[in-house]
Amino acid sequence: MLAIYWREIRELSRSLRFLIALCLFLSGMAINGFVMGVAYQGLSQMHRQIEAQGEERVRQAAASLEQLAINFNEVFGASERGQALILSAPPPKTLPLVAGTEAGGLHGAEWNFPNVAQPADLGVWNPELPARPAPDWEFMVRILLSFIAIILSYDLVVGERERGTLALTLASPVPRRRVLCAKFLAVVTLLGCLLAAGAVLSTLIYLVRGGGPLVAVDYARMGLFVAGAILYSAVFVAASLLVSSRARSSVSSLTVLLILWLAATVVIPEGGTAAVQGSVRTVSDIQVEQRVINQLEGQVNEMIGEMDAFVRPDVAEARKDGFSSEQNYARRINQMIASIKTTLDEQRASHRRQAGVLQNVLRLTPSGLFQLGSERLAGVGEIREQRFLEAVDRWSDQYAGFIKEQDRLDPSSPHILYVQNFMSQRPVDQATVPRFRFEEFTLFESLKNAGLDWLLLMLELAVTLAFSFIAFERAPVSETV
Amino acid sequence: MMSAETKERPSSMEAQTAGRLSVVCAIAWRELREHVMSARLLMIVATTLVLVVLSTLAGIFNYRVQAEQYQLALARSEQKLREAVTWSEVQPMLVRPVAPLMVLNSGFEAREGRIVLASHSQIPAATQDASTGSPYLARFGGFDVTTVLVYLLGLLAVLLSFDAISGEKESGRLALSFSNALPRSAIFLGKYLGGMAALALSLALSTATALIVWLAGGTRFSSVPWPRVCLWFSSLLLYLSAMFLIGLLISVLTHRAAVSLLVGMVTWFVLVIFIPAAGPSAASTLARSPSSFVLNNEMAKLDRELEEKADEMSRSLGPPPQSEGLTISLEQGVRMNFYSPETYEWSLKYFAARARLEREYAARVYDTLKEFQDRNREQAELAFKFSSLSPVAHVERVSNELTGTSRDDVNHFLEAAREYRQSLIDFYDRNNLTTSLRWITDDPPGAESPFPKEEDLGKKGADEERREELELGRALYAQVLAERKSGVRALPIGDIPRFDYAPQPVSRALGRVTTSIAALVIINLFCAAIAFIRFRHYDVRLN
Repeated sequence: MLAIYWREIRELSRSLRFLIALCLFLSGMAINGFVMGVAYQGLSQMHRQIEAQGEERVRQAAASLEQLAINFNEVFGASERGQALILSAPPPKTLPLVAGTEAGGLHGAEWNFPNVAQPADLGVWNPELPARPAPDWEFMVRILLSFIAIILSYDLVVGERERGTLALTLASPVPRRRVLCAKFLAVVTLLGCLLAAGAVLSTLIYLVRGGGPLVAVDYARMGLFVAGAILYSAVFVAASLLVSSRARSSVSSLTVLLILWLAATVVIPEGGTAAVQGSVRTVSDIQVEQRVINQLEGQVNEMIGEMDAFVRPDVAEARKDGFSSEQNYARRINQMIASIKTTLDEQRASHRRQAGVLQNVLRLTPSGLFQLGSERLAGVGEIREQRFLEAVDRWSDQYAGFIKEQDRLDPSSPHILYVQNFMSQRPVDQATVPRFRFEEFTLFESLKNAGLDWLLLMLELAVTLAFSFIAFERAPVSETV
Repeated sequence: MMSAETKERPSSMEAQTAGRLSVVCAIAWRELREHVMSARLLMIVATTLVLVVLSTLAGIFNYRVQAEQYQLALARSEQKLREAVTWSEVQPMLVRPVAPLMVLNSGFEAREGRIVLASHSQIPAATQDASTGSPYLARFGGFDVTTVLVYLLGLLAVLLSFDAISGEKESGRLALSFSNALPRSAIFLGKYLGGMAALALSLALSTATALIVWLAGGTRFSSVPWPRVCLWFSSLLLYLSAMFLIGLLISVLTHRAAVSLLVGMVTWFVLVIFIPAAGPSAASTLARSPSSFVLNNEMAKLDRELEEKADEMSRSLGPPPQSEGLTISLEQGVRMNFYSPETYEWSLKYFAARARLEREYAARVYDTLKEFQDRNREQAELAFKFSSLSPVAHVERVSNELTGTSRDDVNHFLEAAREYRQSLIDFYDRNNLTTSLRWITDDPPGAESPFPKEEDLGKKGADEERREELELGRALYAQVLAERKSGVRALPIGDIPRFDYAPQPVSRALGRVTTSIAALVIINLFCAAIAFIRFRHYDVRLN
């Protein structure tokens, strides 16, 4: 069995197709290293700028509690210089692994405290460029390595039959399933070497070109990804052996395999996306805008018409009637905030619903499972965006709690929150102001998120492999004319 | 004499060419029959048809979403114009119509926004509502009918041609054809025509399916832009011909069908998947595109500068005369009511000067945006240069342009919007709107402030006064609202210039892509020439 294994490795590694595959894959991975290194550098620079700007604004606003409360707001800001604070998550260090949506920009939010935090456009992507998938490892493996797997193994059985050497191979006192096993392992070994070489090359270029310093967890993720990638490409090798055992000629074997490959990697994922797009509706941006405008116009008109809610310039005078109109003002503004928030949440929920349906459609194919599994393993993509927005919401609550607490402590304040001149004017120690921090997924969380997808992929491999063993057991030894 | 001689020769040549033509036809017919019956064609065409139906349905859905947004935006635009009560609020919203052929080729149509504001304070440089949609779907890009055809029929083209020569040699049929004294050029031409006929049939079948699904989805036959569809179809055919000839070239350069297939598949992968994906990546490494954060910061800086200058100017005008009134200053324009004539006089000076300032800043903002856009455009050009090795890049560009879904179509709209904005400003200036009272208020001219003056106060108790004033304010505002509703205070918006926009005509679109069409033709001719030369000396003996 070992003899067959080494023979296959020797023959395949000297073949022209392996050379072509090597060139293609390594050049792809090299491009990946360059692109992701530059992207990481640009993104982390942007993240640092955003953080520095935020820090500076908090420092300035700490001059008084009131400023901390109203200065980060441009929607209903009482302050004329109010401006939303930009928050961002740092770029994931494992950017070359799965770039997902992350290569095009940072996850960010425009934080209009206390109103709403909306996803912010912090992109470095160029709208003039045609839409293309990011050249991450995940793409290279999902599309290129699976293609290479087929190219290397499509004629492992049928080719030998055509040359007439299959009878010879099977004449040795080795059970058939061991022969197949040797062939299977030989191709998988080669693919693993290819992948490892590409991964090392890409990582080196990435680090040299300014990619973030990788730590143990990142390397662990990379290692797990490589293992998953071998698992994924093994599915294609097993499928090739299956088709190869039954095919009449190597040409028909390759043709059938290519069509299967196309179905698994392109047709079902893309067709599924199209179908989901056509059947699961989402709330469009203009619908949101229209709703928000309608709600606001109604409420503003009511507020002006009633004339019971305004902020008086003289605090002392307002104190006489117990700040009744200021209270009304705060109440109405809060109402508007709540209605905007509901509309935006509805849109977000509709996007999430659509994404959920799509993910289940993608799971129909090994390439979809692999895509989702790697995304979750690397902790990027949709789940990271969700985590980021949740972190922003949590922090908003924390920050609001801080403002309320500080305002309560000031006896001279009228305690009408977020209304200029009606809040505490005391300076705040900037070190005590809570800061936003985004925590990445831990490795354990990532494994838990990705577990199901990898498990399903393993199952698919087991089934395909079993079928290929059965097919090989029954494969004719020589060409039947 | 001369005529007699020339008459005789053509007749024999005619006979010869007629004979050769019938040979070519016979070969082409045989090839076509074999291709159409082959399993690979049936499998690929079946897959293509399924995908075409799915992507047409998705295209129809996306088109409906876009059309709905278009209608909503139009309605909003009209509503805004009707509700405007001061000239400064008249800032027409211009809406880009939907290109119906986005059903077949989504291009940039859904990625770009539809709305642009025409106002004195900004020059349209980009659409305002570039849709983000569901962020999770966004990265799948536009998987439309064109992409399906380019991917799958491109594969079919290679699959039909890879063994046209090497395969026939292996089976010995080529030697048979040669021994029948069939001219090699006739065989070559016959094979090409037969293969292309099969491809054209597959393409026609797929296109027809897409069109039938589209028309069944409720589109009227007459509203389909047929000339554009025909041109789009021809460009795809040109691409398929290029892919077929590339396959034929590979077939001539190799001697075993298995090898030709392998080389053909790798070539297809490199041309259709690898280069189009690697081109933009390489370009984004070499030419960095600016980040939107930096751009937004620049914009915010200019904005602050404008506000500071406006503050300075307002200080130079002296303190505004105090009077009770109501100011609403929403995102665009200003609306004042109930103030005294002195306050209006001061405000008018302020807002007229501010309008001048805003125009000046509009130009500066536009320049900044333009600089960023130019850098992006350079990067996109570089990306195209990298991917122009592959016919896919060319056919994509041609197809975007012909279906009216390209960047150029968006730019054409923006250009029209800029022209319209200029005509709007001319209209303002011609009628001296920025210096008229109607720029800031819809109060009747010369009206005194209805509220008691500062010096008349203090006769009654403060609370009493406050209550009376509130009640007066409420009554007055209700009256103003009623007058606005009945149209007494309406602006003569019929006078403002109209935005008549016509999408880029197809002739201009064709003119923009002549180089890409030429590139496709050159790839065709190059591959055909080399393949034919090699074929003339092709060794048919089995080795």
